[in-house]
Amino acid sequence: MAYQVTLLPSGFTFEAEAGERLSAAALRHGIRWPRVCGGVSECGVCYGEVVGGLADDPPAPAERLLLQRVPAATVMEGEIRLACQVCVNRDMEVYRFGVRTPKQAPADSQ
Amino acid sequence: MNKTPDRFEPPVPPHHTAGPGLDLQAVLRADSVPPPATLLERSDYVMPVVPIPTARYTDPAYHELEVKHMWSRVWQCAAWSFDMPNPGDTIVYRNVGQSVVLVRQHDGSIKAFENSCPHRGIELCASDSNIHHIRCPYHAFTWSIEGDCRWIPTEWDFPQFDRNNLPLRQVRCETWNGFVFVNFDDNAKPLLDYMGKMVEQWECWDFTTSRYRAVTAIVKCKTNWKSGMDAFLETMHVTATHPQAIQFAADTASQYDVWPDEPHFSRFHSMTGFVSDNSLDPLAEQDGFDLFTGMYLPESFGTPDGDLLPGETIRDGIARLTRQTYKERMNIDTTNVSEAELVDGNEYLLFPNFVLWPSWSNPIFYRFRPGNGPDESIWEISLFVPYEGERPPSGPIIELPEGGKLADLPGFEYLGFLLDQDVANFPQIQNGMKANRSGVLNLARYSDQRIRHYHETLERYIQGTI
Repeated sequence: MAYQVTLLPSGFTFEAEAGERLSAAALRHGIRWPRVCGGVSECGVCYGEVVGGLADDPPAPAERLLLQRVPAATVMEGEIRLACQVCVNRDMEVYRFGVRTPKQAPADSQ
Repeated sequence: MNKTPDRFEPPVPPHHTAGPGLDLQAVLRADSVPPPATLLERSDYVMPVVPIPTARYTDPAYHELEVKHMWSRVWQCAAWSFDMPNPGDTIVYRNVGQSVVLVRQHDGSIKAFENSCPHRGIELCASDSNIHHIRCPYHAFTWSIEGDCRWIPTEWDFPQFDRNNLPLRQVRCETWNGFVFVNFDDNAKPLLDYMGKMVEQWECWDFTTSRYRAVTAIVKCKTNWKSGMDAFLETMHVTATHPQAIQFAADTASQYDVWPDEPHFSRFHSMTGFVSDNSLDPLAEQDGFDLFTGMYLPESFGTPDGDLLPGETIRDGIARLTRQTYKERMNIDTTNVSEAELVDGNEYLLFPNFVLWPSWSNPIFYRFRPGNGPDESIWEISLFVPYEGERPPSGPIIELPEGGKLADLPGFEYLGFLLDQDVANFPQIQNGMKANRSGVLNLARYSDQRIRHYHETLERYIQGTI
């Protein structure tokens, strides 16, 4: 079972397996998602605003603590989550600047 | 459902064992607009590595030593002179039990008076105001704004007072760069002597003609005043405290300057526009630039403005957008402002607690004062925003309610988010200091040396050797 993730504001879409973590799915599709700690809920850099499709998946304490420190303002009345933690269990829409999709990546990108 | 994250150990970047790989001075020399000569200086002096006792942050007895031996003898910033432009304008400054009232004189100068009635001791002025006379709110003893006694109630009942010889007691008061400083030591050396090298290092920036105080916040902090200071004296904290910034902040390549025989002044220069060595991925320049636009200038993200031009570095791109933004939003031409001033963070500390940033991107001033005892402090932070033409009036002074966020105050915007991250550490710092059974802090040799520098000066005041 796979779900569709839509990145905003670019509108780029990709598929995620049921239960797959958002950033893991993104990386699998060649999307560059900012991160520092490597996906273990330590740095807080990979935050995004989940605008639609958030299943019943409350943040664990480590993520919740980190989210208090990440200065991410909601733009579209969604919920700020860490992409390395939040799981895709429905079609999902996520708003996040600074995420480069393969289509957008300039020619000189690594 | 797989709930285990794809954990792996990030590799240790090479400079973690070998020192900074990015040469700040080389970058500044290569920038398109040359910086002021003072920013091309670097001190090679490094403070000796000594542990710092935690008791200096937590012990009420040490707080008392600071009050008795240090606060009583140092130049402290009491006001921004443009907040009191007219004769009779007053500002009340209080710190560790002292209270002074600053009064703008008819001749344009500023006097500072001991804020205490010689009769029964009440503070003569309770808050900032504009007055015709200094009139005691308790029994109406009255002085001119110059401090000459004008009236004594039931004068026949005060054989010890002579109206012609009862001036208000003055406190030493001098002005630099628009800031008013006071010193409770009548024998203190002049402010400019006290500032030492900072005077010449600052000469290229004159805030009296270029910056106005746009907004001020007062934050009650649950930490020692020195911990508050420490939070901004190095950039090593960026990776953990401001993780969102590390893809465009050269946090490990900052320059920290202290000079021998300059006990009251230190500075740092922290560059913007490079992916931090602490970042996991070797990011493309465009990715770092996207992080910057996404956070600071979201309207540019994904537009042609938000794409680096051929040959442009992140630093170039940030400078280009910053210049464009100043032009569009404030009609200020920054063509001749160096990248080093425009996009970097440069911070100047005058001991003990006066901190001023000439930086255009972080245009802040602040001071930390102790609260009641070692566990509390009061942080006043202002944005000093560039202007052209006529000086705009100073903006509001807002007291942040308990649990309030700077990010919610108008004017602070994204900078408020950053500062909130620092404030979030404060209670944990004070708790952790007390939990530290070794009783000492172990500071980095270079990155933390400004902390050791002011501690050395503080100790000299307490020992009476300065």
